[in-house]
Amino acid sequence: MSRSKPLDSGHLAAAAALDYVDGHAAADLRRAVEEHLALPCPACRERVRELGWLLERMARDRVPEVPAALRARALAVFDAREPRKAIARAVAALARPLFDSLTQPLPAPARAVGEVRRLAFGLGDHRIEFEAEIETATTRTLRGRLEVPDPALHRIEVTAMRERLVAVPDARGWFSLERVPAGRVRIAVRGPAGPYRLPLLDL
Amino acid sequence: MRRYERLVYAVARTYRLPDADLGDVFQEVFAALYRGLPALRDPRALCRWLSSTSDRIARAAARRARAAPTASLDEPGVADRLPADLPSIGSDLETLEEQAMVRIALASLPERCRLLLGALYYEDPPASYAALARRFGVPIGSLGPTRARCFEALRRAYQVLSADAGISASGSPTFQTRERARERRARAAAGPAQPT
Repeated sequence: MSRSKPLDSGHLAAAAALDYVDGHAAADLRRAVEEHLALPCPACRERVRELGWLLERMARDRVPEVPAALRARALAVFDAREPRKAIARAVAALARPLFDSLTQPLPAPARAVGEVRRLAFGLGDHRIEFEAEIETATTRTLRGRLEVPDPALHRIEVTAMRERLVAVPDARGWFSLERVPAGRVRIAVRGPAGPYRLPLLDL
Repeated sequence: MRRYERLVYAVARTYRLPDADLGDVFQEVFAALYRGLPALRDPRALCRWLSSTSDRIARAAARRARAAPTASLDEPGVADRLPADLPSIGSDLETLEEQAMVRIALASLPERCRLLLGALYYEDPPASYAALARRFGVPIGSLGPTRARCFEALRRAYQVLSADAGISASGSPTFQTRERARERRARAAAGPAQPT
């Protein structure tokens, strides 16, 4: 039990406040701190409140060290992506990610938004937007819009689980594909706007 | 990455994923961060983005993992029995973000303070003063005052971090404001007050 000096320049001493909050104060120190907190001293009350807040977060934080294998795996992605980025720049045929509701920060009330993942990719000066909706545990529905000149002249090819599905957008670019196998999906856009390949997606 | 990895890990492991899936989540979150999707400058915003992104990705992985063993649709009604969704860990995310922010504030302190507070408040069970005096090669009587000084430095560092994030105009209301916000959310979650 600590018997540190309760006051310093008329306010609670740092050690006394901490001892009081984390339960290390001896009875006489505890009484002295409580007597001071009973006075109109908002600064000391606030300090005690903040110390308690910090101690509670620290006491509840028992997350173990991150395993080295996990860290190494994440770092490996960075190493692998540098050359790919350079290739993408050179070939200019890899669609550019613009939006992904899986990773885009959303305000807290929207965090629990359900089963639809929305994505958008830049295709040179044009873009494709679509949503992937969970159909069953193993299939997804893709629907969206290809925003290019003459969209009906284009094809959207989706390859998943060795299955290839093709959608042809209507005159306004709308398209829909049902029963797309869930999992790793490769999507390509072919047509006059040029062939574009979207990054591999997990849907 | 070192600074924030524990937060990603903390969120992802709440879904009790197998190691391989946990690795996928970890990789995907940092890959998303690397792609530069968020223009996040301050630690608070980055913590929020990382926790939210980790939650979303880990939840998706958990859903896939649950679905996988019964994924065959040959069996009638299988799809209907699969869980439609897993709830987000929701308000726990905020606690994990706050814990990450405290660790970031701690990391900004001098090494001696970092080690001392780490040993006292993060080791389980906490190290005894006698063991710490031996570990740091200092008189046991000096540990109490050093602990108080270090904790005061941590409190100020946390205030600076929160103020940088624009949470509060002044330092001290930061804690209070967030406590009140938490209370408001708890009341909202409990539903409307019952008439007496």
